[in-house]
Amino acid sequence: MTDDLRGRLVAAGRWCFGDRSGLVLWLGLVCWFGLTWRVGIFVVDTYAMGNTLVALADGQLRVTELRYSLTFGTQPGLREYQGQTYGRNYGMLALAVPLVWVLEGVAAVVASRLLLAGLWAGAGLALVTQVAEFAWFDRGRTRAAGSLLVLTLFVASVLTATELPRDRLALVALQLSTILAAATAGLLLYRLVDRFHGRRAGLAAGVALGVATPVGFWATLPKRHTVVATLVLGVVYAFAVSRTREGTAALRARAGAYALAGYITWIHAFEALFVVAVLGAVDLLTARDRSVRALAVVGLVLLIASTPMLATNYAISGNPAKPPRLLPDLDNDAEFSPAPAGTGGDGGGSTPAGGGATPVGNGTTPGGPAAGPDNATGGGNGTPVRTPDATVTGSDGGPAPPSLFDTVRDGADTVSTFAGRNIVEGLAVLTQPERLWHIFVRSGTIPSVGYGANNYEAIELAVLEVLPLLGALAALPVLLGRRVRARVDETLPALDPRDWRPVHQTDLLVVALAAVLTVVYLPRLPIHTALTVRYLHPVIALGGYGIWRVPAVRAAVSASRWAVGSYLASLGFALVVLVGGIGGLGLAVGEAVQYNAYWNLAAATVCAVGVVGWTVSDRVSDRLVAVAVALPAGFATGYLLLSGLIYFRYGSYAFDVVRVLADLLPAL
Amino acid sequence: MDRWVPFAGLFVVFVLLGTGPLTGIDVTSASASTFGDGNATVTDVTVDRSALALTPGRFGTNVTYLRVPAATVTTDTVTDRPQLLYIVSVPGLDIRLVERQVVTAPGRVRLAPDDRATAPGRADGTYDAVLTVRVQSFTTDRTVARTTVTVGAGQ
Repeated sequence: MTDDLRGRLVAAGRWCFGDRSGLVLWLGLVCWFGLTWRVGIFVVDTYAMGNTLVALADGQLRVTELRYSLTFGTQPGLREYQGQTYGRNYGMLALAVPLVWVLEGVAAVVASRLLLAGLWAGAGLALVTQVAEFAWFDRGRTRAAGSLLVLTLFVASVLTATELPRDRLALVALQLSTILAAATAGLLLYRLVDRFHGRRAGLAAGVALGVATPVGFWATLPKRHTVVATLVLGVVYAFAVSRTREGTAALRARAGAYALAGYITWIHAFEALFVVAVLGAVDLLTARDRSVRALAVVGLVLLIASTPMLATNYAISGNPAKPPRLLPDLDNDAEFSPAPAGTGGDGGGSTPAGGGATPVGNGTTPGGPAAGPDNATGGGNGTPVRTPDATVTGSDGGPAPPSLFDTVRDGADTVSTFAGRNIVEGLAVLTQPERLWHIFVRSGTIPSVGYGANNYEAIELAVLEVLPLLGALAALPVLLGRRVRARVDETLPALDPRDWRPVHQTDLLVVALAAVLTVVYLPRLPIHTALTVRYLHPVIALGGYGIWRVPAVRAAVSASRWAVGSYLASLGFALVVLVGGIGGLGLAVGEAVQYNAYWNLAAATVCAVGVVGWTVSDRVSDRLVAVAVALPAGFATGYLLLSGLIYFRYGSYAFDVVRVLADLLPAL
Repeated sequence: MDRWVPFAGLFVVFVLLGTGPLTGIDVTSASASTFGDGNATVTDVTVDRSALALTPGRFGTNVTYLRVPAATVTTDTVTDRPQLLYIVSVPGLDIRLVERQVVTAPGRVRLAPDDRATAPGRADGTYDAVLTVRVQSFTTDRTVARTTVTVGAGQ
């Protein structure tokens, strides 16, 4: 390899990962998520996602092949327009398309199951080579021991390998794409926290996001939440960079934030709307450069980043302002026999018309809600489809494109209908303490949730139960009180947000994003099959940042060995009491999940007491607060591991060696 | 010591290519849940009938659970890949649980279906339950044990 090429690779690596720690973190998270990865479908919406990905990988938007199907009927998440069937979340699926091509290409020479084992081993070996370069490891011994471990796992996976049909590879690619996205979320949080609080806190934050938050839970379950959460963290990171840099570098980072926010429109226009609005507001409030040039640049970037979404909408319905989610559901009672690829035209009436009358948002969908908040507004019924009588027969048979005025009016209608209604209804929920208690603190059996979709198992947890590290935020009132007092004492308080320190400007963006993305989803919550309140997934990822802004939590990792030791001890303790409870008490699924939730809440309480104690008193040592913070992290990891190995069983383990080990554990 | 990583990498590539479609050597086995032809001779079936019960859910689960005992099935001879089915049926509660396991060698197999939650307020009486063990393959399908139990919330 020439020095020039090597130099460029290193530069590209540095741009992506920051430094070796970032790369190690990313690879480590990929390997960790792989541990409990099961190739299969957990939430029923994934059938439609998988089939849409198959279509997209074949170069078309409309779904013409049902490669993945539970029944011969239709699947939640499929949309219908003029007799053609479409999916949704195209921006997320587009990221998985290259993976489909690569996996299916390599599968020509490698058996599918072994391909997965090979990828895992490859990531493991890359991890070993990078870890071995750290100064505190003996390079040679680390490489030898690490290689042996990877080889052992690989050989064990090969010896126990079961068949994996090649037609599952698109689903594998979809899952792999969210695994990579979740690992990237950890990397972004590392770089964000590193920027303000140094490498140690950054690494701890990145690791914690993957091993002790629901980000780890959803990494292998290919829903949009993971990708949106990653992009939201990317927006915050780019914003933070823009506030710590000057001149062109600052503008470039700022444009990057808008680009990432704009890309979300292609995945979920509803969520993107609020992310863009909040980013725009906080950016204008805190930007030192409000020149026309700067605004023109970020506006143009936002428009370019939204172009894939506009183009997709245009290709499907002829209306750039109408994302697939606003099209009618494919009638759930319809027998779906897709037209063979290439027939095009009007679809030959293969799907019944009149899908616009389909009631949506019903709670009877087995395994999962069909969509996000747009269901609450009546799906496609709120915005009538303008279908001109004289249609232009393109390859997709779409109608004549609406005028620019119509498009803008449609867009404005959509925004006012959805945004306005959800914000108003969300704010109304804030006056319902019992409902908020069930969403944020303690689940149990929640009266308003239709558990019938999941056999009456109380598996829907509250935010604090799935992210007990949030207990650390109990110190916020104390910290805010101190800040207010300090402000009052200052002779010239910095009231203009443009004069704030970058970290406080970033805090403002995080708080605003978390508040808005929470409020707009409150009307839908609590709901069945949310499991970890998945609609609030981006907010939970932002919570992963908030935790590390608390000085006591950073103090907890000031002594690395003590922090790691406390965490491992907590994890060991958690596994003993959780697995012991399952075996000893003979728990059913719902009981086991709720039993875990109680332990998580207890750990969150210990964390809150420890962190508040450290904040208000000098007598609480760093080591003590390390134990208090490690406890909820250990129990949260316990929940992730047992969800992967005991609580929820579906599909086949990506690596059969894990299946063999899981069979040794007590079953529910 | 420095050659470990390249060695491991080459070994992985060698195994992947050596067991793929190019060579035709297939090292993967059928999925553990794939059954085929064959038969099994069952010599003993043990089920703790008294353990079948309706009891309240714990830890905040406000539902009644049907607690299902495991069935231990002993097989004498096994040919090919038949599967053992343990079916717990409570028609009055609209519950039918099926636990299955493919057997490839004689021995003891434990079939333990998950407990099943019932809709709140649904399970308030006594119900007849049928517990069945079957041997099934593409060439055979027969019941080897069947028993009925009455189960009730207060029992």
